[in-house]
Amino acid sequence: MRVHVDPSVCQAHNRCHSVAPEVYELDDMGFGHASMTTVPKELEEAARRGALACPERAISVRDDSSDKAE
Amino acid sequence: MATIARARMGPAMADTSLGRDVAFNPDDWAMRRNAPMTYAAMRERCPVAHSTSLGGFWTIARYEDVFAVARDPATFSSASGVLIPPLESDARLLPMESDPPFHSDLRRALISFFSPRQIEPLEPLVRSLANDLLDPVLTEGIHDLSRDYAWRIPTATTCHLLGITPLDQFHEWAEQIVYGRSEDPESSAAASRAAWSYIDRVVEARESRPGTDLISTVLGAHVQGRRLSRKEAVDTSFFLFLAGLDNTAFAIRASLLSLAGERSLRERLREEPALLPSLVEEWLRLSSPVPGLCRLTTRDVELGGVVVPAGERVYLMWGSANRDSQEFVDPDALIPDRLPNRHMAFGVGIHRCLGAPLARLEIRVAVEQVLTRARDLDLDFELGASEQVEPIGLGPLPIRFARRNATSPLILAERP
Repeated sequence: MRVHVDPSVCQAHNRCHSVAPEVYELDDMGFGHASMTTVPKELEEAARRGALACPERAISVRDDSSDKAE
Repeated sequence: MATIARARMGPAMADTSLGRDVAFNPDDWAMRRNAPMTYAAMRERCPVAHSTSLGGFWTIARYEDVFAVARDPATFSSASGVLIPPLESDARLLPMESDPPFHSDLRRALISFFSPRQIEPLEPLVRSLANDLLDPVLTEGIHDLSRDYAWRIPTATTCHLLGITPLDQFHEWAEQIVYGRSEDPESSAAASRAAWSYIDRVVEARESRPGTDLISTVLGAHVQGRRLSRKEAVDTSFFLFLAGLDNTAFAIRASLLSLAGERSLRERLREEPALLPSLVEEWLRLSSPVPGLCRLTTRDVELGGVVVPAGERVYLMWGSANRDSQEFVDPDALIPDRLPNRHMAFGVGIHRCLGAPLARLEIRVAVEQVLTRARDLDLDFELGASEQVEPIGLGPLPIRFARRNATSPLILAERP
């Protein structure tokens, strides 16, 4: 799974970090970013929860077939 | 439903160019007490309508449309004011009532001050404030947790950030400025002038002796290659002052009201304290302390099949969007662990409430302290006088504290 926070859409609501701190970090101003680009299996649910929490819909998570090959 | 009783369609040929006419007044308290009913009817029957009240404006009731408008600041400008009715004041509420690029620069200068990294260290201060306020309250009997608690936490916290001393006067100012503008415009105007002048004097003092407080941060802002003018600096500080007072008090009061009315919720929180942050989001969604804000169209624009002409005010109904069944499953139900919960109680887009992390902290800690302190004293609580308690706003919140034992009327009342 791949995760990406679109910085042009993020408005620093901090919601992703609140619900899934293991996947999403905040910068000094409170804008969110993923602490990884490829999400390990055990954090996939957290990554999805973070994306669902975003009021701006700035976060995309997508299953990547290359993940399965690895 | 009186507010939409006069709803009618425009001329048949113009159904796509005219929204329904309604007499919706966002500042009508009779409506606001039952706002969810009015909102539901508007979402269903006239999601984009034209209100003939207060000089005329368009109402946007559905989540999807409110979201689209809030995310398009080029088409929907904030620079000519966002409040309906406007404040009785010449103050421009900055940065909220401005557009990019001025807005982007001013917001960037302020956003770090309100980031979680800056706000989280305030938690012990807020907790200690809450504890001090609870000391005289946590005894058997009825106590007003609005004026003596919900109000005082935001006031004290905001004053701490601004580097000023909390005064009782601030409560009256905030009530008159924000809540009195329809009922008593003259008093509202006088309160605005008094509060603005007060902040003006603080700004003057900070200009000569800057510190690390919020007003000094405002004075240090560079916006489009310059410092703020004195009027802009006072307007910004005035708005940050005001915004920190009433809305958070509203949210704390609404949260305690919900908690006092639901014993099962209190029990669940005692067992699962980690549930509180998501419950705070749910209280914010359902109470929506800021029910709506407006924008001005910069061009003709289609919204939900209706063409709104350029130069019109468009009112984003956050409170209605937050109960839209197209976005929220079982929207009128309080679901403590609701996810997703993309509510717009703090708005969305570039004007998203800067103080949201602070408000969340204050609400969470205020509720936590009532719960834990009451439990430590073996007290439970419930509404003291259910008939007269306003569901929204800043009015009294009588809470009855009673011993948690078998002879307590509180406990007996719960048993069949």
